[in-house]
Amino acid sequence: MKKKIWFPIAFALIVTTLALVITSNNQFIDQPEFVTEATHPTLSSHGNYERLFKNVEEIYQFSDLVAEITVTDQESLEGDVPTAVQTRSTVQVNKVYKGSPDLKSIVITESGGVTDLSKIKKSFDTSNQNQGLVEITPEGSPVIKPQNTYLVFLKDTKDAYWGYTISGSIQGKIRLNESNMKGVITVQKDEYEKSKDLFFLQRDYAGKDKTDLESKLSKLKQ
Amino acid sequence: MSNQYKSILSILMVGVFTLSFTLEASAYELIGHKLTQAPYNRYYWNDTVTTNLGGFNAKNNCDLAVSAWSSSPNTKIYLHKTTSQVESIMDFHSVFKADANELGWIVFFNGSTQIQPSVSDYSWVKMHINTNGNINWMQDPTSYKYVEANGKQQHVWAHEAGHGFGLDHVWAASWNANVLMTPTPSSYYNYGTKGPKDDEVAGVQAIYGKLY
Repeated sequence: MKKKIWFPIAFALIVTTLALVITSNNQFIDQPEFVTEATHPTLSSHGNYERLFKNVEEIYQFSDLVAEITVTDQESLEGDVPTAVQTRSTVQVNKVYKGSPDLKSIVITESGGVTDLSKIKKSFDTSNQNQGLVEITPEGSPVIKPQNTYLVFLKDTKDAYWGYTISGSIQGKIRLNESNMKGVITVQKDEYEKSKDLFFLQRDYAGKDKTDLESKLSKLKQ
Repeated sequence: MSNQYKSILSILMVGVFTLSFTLEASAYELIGHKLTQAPYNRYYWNDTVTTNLGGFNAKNNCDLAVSAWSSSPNTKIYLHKTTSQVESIMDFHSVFKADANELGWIVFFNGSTQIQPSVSDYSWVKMHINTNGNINWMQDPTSYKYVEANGKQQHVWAHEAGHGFGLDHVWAASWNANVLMTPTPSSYYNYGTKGPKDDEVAGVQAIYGKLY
């Protein structure tokens, strides 16, 4: 009688423990690849966002355009304040998953990017005036980079100059490794580790073939 | 019910309770480092913040947000307004960004060097509100209780100031929790939160100590 009671309990405990270990550490799952894209020292900014998304379904519904793109050209726009740098990228559209299928080239504007901090004025301390060029990365997420390929979820600004912005500001983009077309993580590792829910695209699709995400997108389109 | 079943049930209940407590325990998150000097009887500067952000006085809303922090009970936070940017430890700016989804953001400096706040302490911070942001626009105003632009601007300024004091986003908790440091203004929309709540007060007390 005692054996009959304890066997299912022990089995349930083992299964529960294994599930907790797997979900907390992901140690039995393929480890995603982290890629450093920045060409300058990176510094995170921390923000407040009107809308953030928790999964692909939400961000897909919100976005005007979902596409695979390759960055062809790029400029940093410092404006009046170097810490408010924006990056304006011209990109080639490789494949459209939502939106006009005829698009060939578009503009994407992101917050962050390379800026010259030697222009910052705070005269009570004149040390290190030559910090120079750094890349500001919102929540540790760098802007897209020339020659690289990404799957992006975009919102139309309705302004031809600014083009599209990333849905969820830093959420709607994942780089595809050009050699095997698997998703990779470009977010700084420490920032990614503390906010995986924010970077759900990387959490769910990094290390996986892009067809996994494509399959999800085609289901959402139906 | 046999004693054996009762014992098993008790153990399971204790386990579930412990797990629940662990998941909910993190009421605030720290960014890693802090201001090199406690923000008590020190200065903030917002001379260039616009007084007309979509018809609303962003500078006044900034003052109200700082005042909310200065009024937080038993904390070493009290900031005076200054017209001298040099002596300020919190600089506020209003600037344009194309991404309307980004309402505000902050960067950290030690002297003239921008630093990573997870790595080292900082002597001052630079906060921004996006003049192109959806700062005067409410998500689905019919669904939320609080939909007033001045309140939302105060929330954004107070949130960024929270980062400036050393608080991080509360990622682990529900994004709809009534705390200032959720990454969206959901606590304003749902609860009218425009300043620090108990969790943020506990956070800055943990960083700088209590006043008394």
